[in-house]
Amino acid sequence: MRLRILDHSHRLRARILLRVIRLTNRTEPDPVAKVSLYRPELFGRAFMHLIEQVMRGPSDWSAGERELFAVFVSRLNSCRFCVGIHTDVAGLHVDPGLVARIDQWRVADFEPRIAATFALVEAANVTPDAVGPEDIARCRAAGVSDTAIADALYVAFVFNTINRLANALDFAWETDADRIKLAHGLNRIAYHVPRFLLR
Amino acid sequence: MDRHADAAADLRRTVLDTPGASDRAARRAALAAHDVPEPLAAYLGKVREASYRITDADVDGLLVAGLSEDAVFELTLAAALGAAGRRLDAGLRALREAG
Repeated sequence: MRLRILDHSHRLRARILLRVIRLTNRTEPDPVAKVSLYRPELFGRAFMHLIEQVMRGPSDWSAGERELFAVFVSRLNSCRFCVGIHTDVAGLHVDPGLVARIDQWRVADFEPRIAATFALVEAANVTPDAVGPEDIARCRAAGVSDTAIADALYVAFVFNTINRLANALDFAWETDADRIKLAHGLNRIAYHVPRFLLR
Repeated sequence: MDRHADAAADLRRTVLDTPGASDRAARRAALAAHDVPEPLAAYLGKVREASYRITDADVDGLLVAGLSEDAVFELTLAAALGAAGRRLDAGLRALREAG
């Protein structure tokens, strides 16, 4: 991590939690947890509330489909950390072979509604000023409801935020085994961090 | 339809308004990407548009220039949210325009 405060300056409650995670998981805690637990009133409390709701709350998209969008956006932003973690998480929900073909989404066997939503998310990310009703029309034609379109745009929003933090602050795992542990841990808690830890 | 609007607005409010090492005007400028002085402007520009290109030297340069780690953290958060919000707003605007 490029800022030492995010490794070493947590409040007592968070420091104890991070120590417990190190002991029980035998790996360095997820950098997203470290960032969220540091001055949680600034970022972590609101961010964890939003990401839990977006990734595991009510939606027309399954958890696995939302993980595919997370991987897709993280690839657009060249975020090695989030691509690694969420490729693993996605593979716990959908065929890992499909996740591996995500860069060939235009020709690979993604459902039309997922491919159409990838196209919209890519347009909003790469050329936000040029996104228009015709991009929405293509999603609707593929059977994506307006609520599902908005839900996918929010997955992109949370990953556009965290990808930039991960890249700027240099989030990393130490080994592939650690990466897999972090992914399984995130999937197990389903993005839920008890509120009292974020006070 | 837009079921996450309140939670996203909360995030934006806490990042912009929670007291910290940088003042509110600086965080608003970082989020909106205007009126940001150097060397911050170059760094925050990378956060927004090419964050994968940020190096240790970029962050060290800000600390050497006198910014605290907390200020860098706060301004990085604001710039990241600004870039993410711009893309979200573009998509939601298209959705509204599609009628």
